[in-house]
Order: sequence, then C-alpha cells, then structure tokens
Amino acid sequence: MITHDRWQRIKEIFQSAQERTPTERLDFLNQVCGDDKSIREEVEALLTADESNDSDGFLSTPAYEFAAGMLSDEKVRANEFEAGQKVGRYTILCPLGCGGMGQIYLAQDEQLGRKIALKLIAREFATDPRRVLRFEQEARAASALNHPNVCVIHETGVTDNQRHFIAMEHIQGITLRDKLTREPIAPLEAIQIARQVAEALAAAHAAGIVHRDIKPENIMLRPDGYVKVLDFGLAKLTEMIVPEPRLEGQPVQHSSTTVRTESGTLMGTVKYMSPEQLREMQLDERTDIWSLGVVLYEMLTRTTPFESRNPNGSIVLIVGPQTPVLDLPDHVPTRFREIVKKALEKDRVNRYQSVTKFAADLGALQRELERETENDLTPHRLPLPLAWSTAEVSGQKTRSLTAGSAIFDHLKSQALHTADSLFTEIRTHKAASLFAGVTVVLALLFAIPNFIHWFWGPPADDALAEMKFAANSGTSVTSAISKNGKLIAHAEEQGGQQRLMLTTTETNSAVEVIGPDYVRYLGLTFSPDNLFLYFTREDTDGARNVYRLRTQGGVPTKVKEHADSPITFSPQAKQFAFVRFDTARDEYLLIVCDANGANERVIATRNNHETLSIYGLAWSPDGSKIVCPTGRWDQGFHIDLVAFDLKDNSQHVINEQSWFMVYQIVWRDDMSGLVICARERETTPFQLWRISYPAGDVRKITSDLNEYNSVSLAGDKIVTVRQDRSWRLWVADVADLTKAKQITSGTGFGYGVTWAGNGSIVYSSMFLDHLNLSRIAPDGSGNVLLTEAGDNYNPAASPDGRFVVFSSKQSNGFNLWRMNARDGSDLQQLTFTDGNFYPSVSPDNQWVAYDSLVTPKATVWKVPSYGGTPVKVADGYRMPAFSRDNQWIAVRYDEIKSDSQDLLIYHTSGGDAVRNIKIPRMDWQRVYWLDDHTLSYLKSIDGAVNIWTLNLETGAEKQLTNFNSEQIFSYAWSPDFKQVAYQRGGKISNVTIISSER
Amino acid sequence: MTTRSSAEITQLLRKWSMGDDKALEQLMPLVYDELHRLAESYLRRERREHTLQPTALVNELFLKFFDQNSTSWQNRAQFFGVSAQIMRRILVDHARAHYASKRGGDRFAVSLRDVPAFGAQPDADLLALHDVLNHLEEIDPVQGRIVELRFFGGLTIRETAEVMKTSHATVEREWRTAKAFLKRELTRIADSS
Repeated sequence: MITHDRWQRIKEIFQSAQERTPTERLDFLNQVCGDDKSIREEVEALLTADESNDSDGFLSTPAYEFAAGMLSDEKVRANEFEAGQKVGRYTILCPLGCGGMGQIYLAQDEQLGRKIALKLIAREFATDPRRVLRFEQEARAASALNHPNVCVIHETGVTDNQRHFIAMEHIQGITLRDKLTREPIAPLEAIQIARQVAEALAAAHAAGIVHRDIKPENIMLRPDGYVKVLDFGLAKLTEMIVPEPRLEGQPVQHSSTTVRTESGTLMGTVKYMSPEQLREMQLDERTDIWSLGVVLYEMLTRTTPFESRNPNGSIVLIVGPQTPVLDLPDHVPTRFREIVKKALEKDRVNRYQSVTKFAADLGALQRELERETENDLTPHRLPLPLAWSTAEVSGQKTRSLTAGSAIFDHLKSQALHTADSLFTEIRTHKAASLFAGVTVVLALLFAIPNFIHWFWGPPADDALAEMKFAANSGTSVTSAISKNGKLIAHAEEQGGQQRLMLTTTETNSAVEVIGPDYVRYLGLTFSPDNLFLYFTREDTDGARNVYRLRTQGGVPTKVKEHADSPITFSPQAKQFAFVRFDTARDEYLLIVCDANGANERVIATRNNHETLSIYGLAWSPDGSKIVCPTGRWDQGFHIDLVAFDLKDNSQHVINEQSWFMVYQIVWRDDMSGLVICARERETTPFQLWRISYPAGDVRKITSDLNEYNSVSLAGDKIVTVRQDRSWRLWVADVADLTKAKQITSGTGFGYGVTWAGNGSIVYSSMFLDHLNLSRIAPDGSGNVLLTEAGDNYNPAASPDGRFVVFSSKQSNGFNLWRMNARDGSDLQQLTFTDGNFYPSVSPDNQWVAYDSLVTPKATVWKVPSYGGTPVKVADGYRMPAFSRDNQWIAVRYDEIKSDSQDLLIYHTSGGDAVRNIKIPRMDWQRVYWLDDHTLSYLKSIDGAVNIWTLNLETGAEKQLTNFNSEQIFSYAWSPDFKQVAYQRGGKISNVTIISSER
Repeated sequence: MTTRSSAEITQLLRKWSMGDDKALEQLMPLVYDELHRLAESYLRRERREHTLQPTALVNELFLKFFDQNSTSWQNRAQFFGVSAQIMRRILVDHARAHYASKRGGDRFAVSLRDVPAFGAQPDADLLALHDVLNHLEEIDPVQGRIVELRFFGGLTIRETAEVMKTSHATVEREWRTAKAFLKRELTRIADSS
C-alpha cells in the first residue's frame, strides 16, 4: 500500500519524467531516484502504464458508455458462451450480436454439419415454464409453415445450465434496420420487401399465429433478395395468460386462453405498435398489418409516422384521435399512399382486414411500378439487387431492447386508488379500508416476473436480492413476521369475511388460527418475545379493538378497546402505542398504554384538517420516540413522517419528503432508519422505501408497479403484502345481461365510465403514468385517448352527449373540468377550490353538481356547465345525481360522520330532504336515476358486487347483474337506458418475503 | 422535472458549496433515481441513432432539473460533480449486484484481459477499478475526484477544471497520472490473480 507521502514523491518524479524526452528521462531518474530502487520501479511502472494508456485509450470513454450493456441489457449482454463451447449438439463459433431477448451466436451443428444461429434466451424471459411452452409451440408452428420468408427454427431446447435456446436458420444478410440506416430505399424495393414480409405473415396468420413484433430489426434481407421474418412466437415469452373474454354467465373455458401483454413486459418498440397493442387489447392479425404499415412508411421516408422526441409523444400520437399525417415523398405514387394509409388506419375495423389483401395490393402496385420502370428503361430492372457493401454481416443481429424505455414503466403503470377514493380513506376512520375491498381471485395465472426488475430498471436498492411468496391465497390483506423470523401471520379475505393465518417459515405450512368472520384485520404485530400475536381488528359491530393471541394456540383476548390503528411495542414490550380517532371531539390521538391495555396516556393530538395515521406507527428501538405519519392539506393532501419524542414531548418532521399516503412503517433494529410503504403521488403505487435516520434520506426498496401494503422486519427479511390489479370494461344490453361484451381492459382499477351519446363511452384508465380519459365505441372500436396530461377521472357526460365533465388534477389540486366529448377539445376548468369530485350533469345540460371534500365536512355544490359561480346544494353529503326530470338530486351522506347508509333526495330548487333511503356503504358506490322513481346503485353480497335498482315508490329492490365475483369500479347507462357499461376487476394480493434487507 | 426539485437541488447545492456535507447526502437520492432512469433509457436506445456526446448524459439530466438560464455555471459545475459521484455509485452498485448474481456472490476474481476496453467482464472490471480508485482517493483525493468527473461523469478536461476550480493544465496532468496509477494497479491485480 502506497502512503500519501510516498505517492506525492512518486507522482512528482513521474510527472517531471513525463515532461522529458525518453533519453533525458533515464538521466533524470538516475539522478532523482538514486539508490531508491523501489521508488524507481514504481515510477517506471507508471511510465509503462502511461504508455499503454496512450495506445489503448484506457478510461478514455465515459463509464456510462461502456456500461451500456451493463445498465440496460444486462440479460442479453455478456457473451456468456465462448467459442468452442458446446451447447447440446452445437459448437459456438462466435457471437453474432444481441437480439430480442437474448444473445445470438453463430454455431456449428455437429450432427448435420451446418452453421446455425443459436439464440440463448435470457433467463429473465424464461422464468415461466408455461410461457416457454407457449413460445415453443408457436415457434414450432411458425417454423412448420415452411415458408420461404419465415426464418426456420431447427430446434428449441435447454442447455446444461438451464438456459433456453433456439437453434435457427443462419441467415446471411443484414437486418432491414441496418439497411435503413445506410441508404434510402426506393419505392419499388420497399414494396418488394414489404410484400415478402406480408407473405410470411399471411402464412402465419392462416395458421393462427400473430407475430406482434414486426419491425425493421426483425426483418432480415439476404443478398439474393429473399426477405426473412424472424422471431415468430417470441412475443409469447412476454405475454400473460388470461382467461378468454367470455360472455357473462358462461363457464370459464380454461382450455381457451388468449394473451395480454403482461404488466411491465410489453415488448417491442413503441413506434411500431398498433393502437390496440398499446391499449393492451386482445390482438389479432391486424396488429401485424399496422406494424408492417409503419415499416413500409419508414422504408419510404426513413422515419416513422409517429415520430416524437420521446416515446410518450409517440404513444400519444398513435393512440390519440388524430389521423396520422403521412408525409410521403413526392415520388411515391398515389396508389402507394393509399395502401400505406389503409394499413395505418387507427381503428382496425377500417384497416386492411387481412394481410393477404395487403400483400395483393402491394403485388399489384409492384407490377404496375415495374411496368413503368421498364417503360422508363431505367437500368434498375427486377429483381432489384438488394445490394449492400458487406454481405457477410453478422446475421441475426437485431435489436437492443428499446422496450425497456422508461416510458413503458409509465405506460404499463398499474392504476391505483385515485385521490378520490383515498380521500375517503383519509377522512374516514371507519369506512372500508384501502385493502379490505372485496375480491375473489381471478383465474389469472400470474407468474412473478423476476425480470420485471431489470425491465423497470434494477431495484433502486442493491439490497433487494430475492422475493418469494410465502402463503398464497391471492387475497391477503395484511401480514407480519415475528422478530425471530420463524412465524408469519397474515389475514386473508374470502367472500367479505376475513380469517387469520399463521405460517411457520421453516416448513412454509399455514394454519388458520381464527376462522372467517365479517371482521377486518387492520394490523398484526408480534410481541418482541415472539410469544404473542397482537392484532387490531374491526369487529362485526364496527368497533375496533386490540386483541392478543398466543402463537402456540388458544383464544384471543381483548386487551384494548377503541384503537383505530395497528399497535407498536416499546422496546421492552411493557407498553404499546396506537392511534385513536375520537369521534366526539373530531380528534386523532396518539396513545401509549401498558401492555395489558391499562394506563392510557395521550402523547399527541391532531385535529382540524390534520390527521394522525391510523394505518401504522413505529416505536423506536431505543424507546425514545414514536414515528407516526401525520396528514395535512396544503394544495392537496400531504403526509409527513413525524417523530414524537416521549421524553420532552417535542415533535419533529423526519425529513422534507412529503407523501400522498403512508401505510405501515417499521423501524430497523439498529435504528439506522425506517422501512415504510408509501406512495408519493395519488396515482403512484404503494412501494417500499427506506428512510435513513437521522439523515432522512429516502431510497426505494421496491421499484415496480405492484402495491406493497404492509411491512414488518425480521433480520434481513421484509414481509409485505404485494398486490396486482386489473380491470375490464364491458357493455351489456339490459334486456339480456348475460350477453355482455368485453370491449377493453387495463391494469389497475377503473376510475369512472360515462356514456357520451349512444356512439361512445368515455372511461378513465391508467395511461402514461396518469389517469387519462379515452373514448371507445360500445362495440370496442374507435378507442382514442382524449386527455394527455394530469390525472383525469370520474367522467360524467352531459345528457346531450356534447361534453364530458370530469375530476382532474391538471392544475393545482383536484378540480372539475369540461371538455368536448368527441375529441377532448375546448378544455375548461370549472371549479377552483380543490377537492372536487363526482360530477353529474343536469338533464338540461346547464348545471354540474359535484362533491367538495376540502372542508372537514363534505358538501355538494353545483356550477354552471360553461363556467360561473358555484352554489352550495347540501352540507354533509356527496356524490350527487340528478333525476331525469331535473326535479331531484340524490346525494349520499358523508360517511366520515356516520355509519349511516343514507341516501337523501333533495328538490333541485333546495329545501329539506324529501326522502331518506338506505343504500350500501361501500367503495366505488355510485347512484344513478333510471327514471323519475327508480335508482340504480351497487351492492356487494359475499364479495361479489352487482348493480341493483330500487323503486322509490314501492321500495322494491331488484338485482340487475349477476356476477359472483369481482368489484364493479364504475358503471354508466346508455342515454336510452337500454345498455349499461361497467368496469369490473379485481386484485391478487399475496404475502411476499423480500430478503437481504440489510 | 418539477420546479420543486430544481429549487430543492439548487438549495442543496448551495448548502453543499458552503461546506454542508449533509446536503450532498440529501442531494444524492434526488438525483439518483433520475440519473439512473436516464442512464437506462439513454443507454437502451439504438446507439446508432443517438451518438453519445461526452457529457450528454449529465447534461440531459441537468436540463431536466434546471432552467439553464436561471442557473449559474457554479451550480452547473457542482451538479455535474454530484452527478458523476452518483453515476459511479449506480454503476458500481449495478456491477456488484450483477456480478454477485452471476458468481453466486463470490468475491470477484479479476481477469483483466481487457482492462482498457472493459470488454469481457465490464462488471468485474468496473468493480476492480472502483477498488483501486478508492485507494487512489485515499492517497490523492484530487486525482480521485478528477477520475470520478472524467470517467464517471463524462466531463471534458475543461469542464472538470471548471468543477474543480483549477487549471486546464493541472487537470490534464493529474488525470494522466491518475490513469497511469490505476492502470498499473489493475495490471498488478490481474497479474497476481
């Protein structure tokens, strides 16, 4: 080890020596080093190194540049296989490059004595055996077509070290991408290429195979003019298997599955994706037609029709309502333009319906152009030489995975609770909790996509090493691990009932310790000695109490009444702390009491627009303080982490970061920080974060699109509940509700749907990292994005179908906006107070009634549809709905103030409520008027939510839909009330262990 | 980037420049995620379509965070410095994670066949470099910083001089020496393994 001083000396000599010529250098060194051999050696070594640096350019390239592979495509990066190495019967010759999903090598097939291209699928793509199987089936099927334009797959298999590989035809040539970057392509040549691709696709489509990822990187051009389409079936590796959309009421046909791109794994370059692909709709052959259309366009112009500075922009252009601007060069014949235009129809109904027709049109045009060319006597006779200078270029060199762009993180974002439903949570201490909504496991066969990590970028924290599931009911609500790491408790829900389970981690065996009942487990806490499990539970009577249960078995004993939050123990477990909402005083209390529940002491209070979290708090390991998230309104809702000092009663905010929502929190044993589950914004998912203490630095532990709903620690393990969500939009005839049709779907929850005239349905869904509004026809066609920025939801169309009013966070806070229902134009902000939700437009289209939640007490207001001064309609109520004759407004009682399920009906002119009706209080509840004496609303029975109607005159209730599972997030009636559209969906939540939390 | 971030970063940079080392720690997470994300998306693009400029990455990041017109060169220089530090952290973390996953967590055995080009095993090479750079920082913090700015931050000599508030010639000389030191150390490790 060189010391600082010695280095100074060496450095000095080295630098002086450097300034001298080599001849002078010797003398100089002799002179200064004298007898000090070692220093001389050091200097000489440096000089040698310096010389080599000059020649090899050591460190001359910035780190991030050479690290390209490391950071981005690490799964396809390394040349893991070296020349001479054997993979099955193949001998690796040399790497050919990085292709989709894996490294490609040139290899020798020893048995058949031929060269082949060997693609090693990156592990991340081959984690799910079912997907691999489906890929292999489809790859084989495509290969079996034996079509000259389809790259032949010789074999798929697994290497000794469990890597999946594909042995395929080695194609000498270049990719269309290579060619595009080198030289312009003449129209005739473009046709020739496109036509061959179309023919390959036609053969595949006839066999029921859709490529899904047509782009220049997947099209190989051989020197002899043949075009080969690569990677058939590869898309299967990244797709999720979901049940086939089916008619409601019919049995699930498990044999018939369709594919949907899985959250976070959408492959391919945005620029070539069809609108339906970006929307994650069910894909058919028409998506390939679109992609080929884009490729064709690119060959003619060397740019794509949806070019934008960033993928976000491209997505908006593709999915948005604008007709594509096809800026083709002048020399492109009109007939050609028409073909391109027809391939690039956004609504696939208007597109070429079959690639055969596309190919035929290209063929006809080709012949036409050839004749003209011949007539012109130009030297370029057919077949056009697909000439390039170096024919022997690395064969299947294809793409770098642009699909991993950050935009896709956003695009695929899981939609989460919106501010609206969260406001209810924040303001409600007894309302349904965030995570206790009723669900039933979908028949979704979710695999845990390990590769999601590299895809979304690696986990932000290097400590996140492993995730594995413990107990998997798919309906877990909350969880906790004992300090010794031997027990995991979790609550799960089935049919509206929750039960408590205990799992021994060694054996991974779970036992039910408290059977199902209509209760809600709000938080589980093991005593530090691991002997007891404490839990806060909302009992059947709505009271929230703390219980204690021996982990060895027994019956629970109540230790504390009226505790609204999970508890946290003092270090010696002599006391615990919790939060209580005092309804009488409208005040949140942070309370400490003895372990047996006695000796309550109030540590802190919050009232008047401020809150203490009822979702979790944490006592520091040194016993000195309790950290509890506190909430405040300040242009939206903010949560701060506040440490309440138990000795001097002081309070301080841990760091400057404010959150939209913090759920559970836990200290690390060494007090070096906290682990919390929190969301930054109302639309970002709950993630696990690490907050250092006392510095307050914030780092993500998880960085994906799932939700993490609870947190506890044991050693290097975090135990949490992880949740995936999805929704589907259906349309059904009221006359025969069993014949419902699914028209679109998405990840996350649904955030509102409305019917803007009979021709279109406007709905809110997570898009581009935000909730946005889209329009879609009831038959599923014409899906276009209407909004581009901000979070937009709760759409309500005017009865004349001309405009849509919606909640939006486009400016500060949550306010109501109005836009043209057809194309999203004429945006106008209608309210400015913040906290405005659930608009409803009056039958004469003149007024918009809505909630205001910004005051402690919810209020209902109305504002003129084209702007004006809001007028208050009612106090203490929300979610207004106009009757069709404009005589009445129905409003729901503000649930924070009461357990009441009241729906009150007011005359639009004001005055006292004329009717008081009971409707279920539940998440996503929404009431509409069907006619002047009939209301529709949502009702949940045993976890299944359905639409019901109530006749106000007779009091008769009637169940309209007949689902036996899932939530209805929103629904809307067609203007003629003959059809109903609804967003349904569910979630899968599992207890998850994350290891290596250091 | 929101103006909030921008203002926050500016403020933290100011604090840091006034000697508050804590500010740097606070700055890190702000910049980390964004730089990470940027680096990823940047590097994932088709290289041929986007020729990398020496400082493009941090420049881009800078543009994201700041309105250039309202920010002094001082801020910019500091920001670049911080970014370089963070970039190093990102790459090293990444290499470490990746290396561990590949080698089952074993301590890397460096084979510096391609040290100059960081060819065959960029992660191992990077980790080795990180180690010897740590050594260099101990004995010569100035050189350590130059390497960080030049190699991890992608800054030019001029920019580095600006950030370090020193002369072009000094940076050039120290950079050269530092590289020789690192190369020699790496070669030693390679030879002995």
